[in-house]
Amino acid sequence: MNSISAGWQSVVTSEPNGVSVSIAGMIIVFVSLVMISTFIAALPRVLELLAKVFPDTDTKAAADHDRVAVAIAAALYREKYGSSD
Amino acid sequence: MDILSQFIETTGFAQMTWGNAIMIIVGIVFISLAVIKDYEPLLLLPIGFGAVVGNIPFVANMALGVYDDGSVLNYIYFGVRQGVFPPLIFLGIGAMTDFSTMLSNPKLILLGAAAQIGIFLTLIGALFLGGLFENLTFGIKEAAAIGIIGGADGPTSIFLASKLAPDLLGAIAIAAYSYMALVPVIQPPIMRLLTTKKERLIRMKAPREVSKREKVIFPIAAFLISALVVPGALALLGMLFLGNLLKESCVTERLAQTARTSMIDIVTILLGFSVGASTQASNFLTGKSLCIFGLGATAFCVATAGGVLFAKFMNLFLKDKINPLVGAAGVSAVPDSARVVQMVGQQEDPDNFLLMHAMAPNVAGVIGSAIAAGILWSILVN
Repeated sequence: MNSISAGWQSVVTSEPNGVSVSIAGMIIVFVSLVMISTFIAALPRVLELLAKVFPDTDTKAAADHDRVAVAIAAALYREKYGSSD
Repeated sequence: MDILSQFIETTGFAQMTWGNAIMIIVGIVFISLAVIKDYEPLLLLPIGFGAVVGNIPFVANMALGVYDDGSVLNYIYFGVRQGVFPPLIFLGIGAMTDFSTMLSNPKLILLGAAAQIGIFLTLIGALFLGGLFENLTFGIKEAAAIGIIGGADGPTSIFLASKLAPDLLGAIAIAAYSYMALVPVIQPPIMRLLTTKKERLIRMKAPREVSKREKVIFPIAAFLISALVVPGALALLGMLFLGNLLKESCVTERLAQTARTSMIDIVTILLGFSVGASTQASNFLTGKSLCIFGLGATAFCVATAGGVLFAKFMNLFLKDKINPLVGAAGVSAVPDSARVVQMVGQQEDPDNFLLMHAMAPNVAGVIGSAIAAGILWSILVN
């Protein structure tokens, strides 16, 4: 029993107090990661709003890909079946 | 003849102590684990060989050892002593990490925070132990440096130990890397003990697709948030997020490629070798080192349990349940602890793929342990 109390004494009499450091440390870790988590959760909605002002380059690229695919399909169709004009 | 007998006295055979012999055997065991068992070979092999090199005795006046000013090993060890190597490793880790799963399911980040409890409870444990045994007294700086082993992140452990407890650096680094190598042995029993079969069978929703914009914005924003809250983590997190930005921006592929291949490999060799060489028997074979190994194991177990239990706690409030096994990946040890989650999950249900989900708390754990190191350094620097 004495040794347990000696051990505990060394925890609480350290400078700064070991328990306070641990509790404060754990809280700050949680707060930091909760802030990052909240930011990430909000990010898609923020980007959705921003996309209206600044269109996503990925969307442009996708649209370009679609146009290229349509052009290739049209060229192949004409080559196989001749022009419908 | 005199010269010959004088020379014989200078040989390693003549000066070998039991301590040196034991440490050389430990080094060979590390090399064997790396080669035969494939346990963290990239780390254990250079550390093991470093331990062999560091324990060859030499004449006192020759500047050869890690702790001798002006020796080659001392110059290499500079990167460890001054905390240069860990941020460089973080740069490489950032350049090879995909944060997509974390971005698609941000609540899993909290598991990475919960697992850091191992660090702080071990800090208390180290101080407590010091009160029980007079010759094992640890100051609070030393206790914090020991506690960080629970973050399961070798570079972070080395970084904090170099700042707060340079005398214990060798033992802390070896303990951290040893336990990281032993993740597949340490974690599964704790995970099974703390979960029911029904919980282990939980299937999680597939992660959503994450846009390139989110991936590019994330490292900048996450760095600003974490570094402004904890400036002490600036060096580690700055390099981690720079590496990730190099990767995700897609405009610096050459730099990202170098960071995640050649550079991290070079730094890993130098770091592993010099940490191994710092385990000279006279400094390493002490009661404190044994105590550090014991506390490190406790830290690892508590961190694993913290992640699993917090996942169970979150399930009380969530509609889409989390498989609590995923919480065990909150300890950093990327990607080994995520692989362990996958392995344990598939033992219950071979069609349940938890790896992607486990990567989220896993990378959050890296950020969490760096933040914890920054906090401890900030509080205890004076």
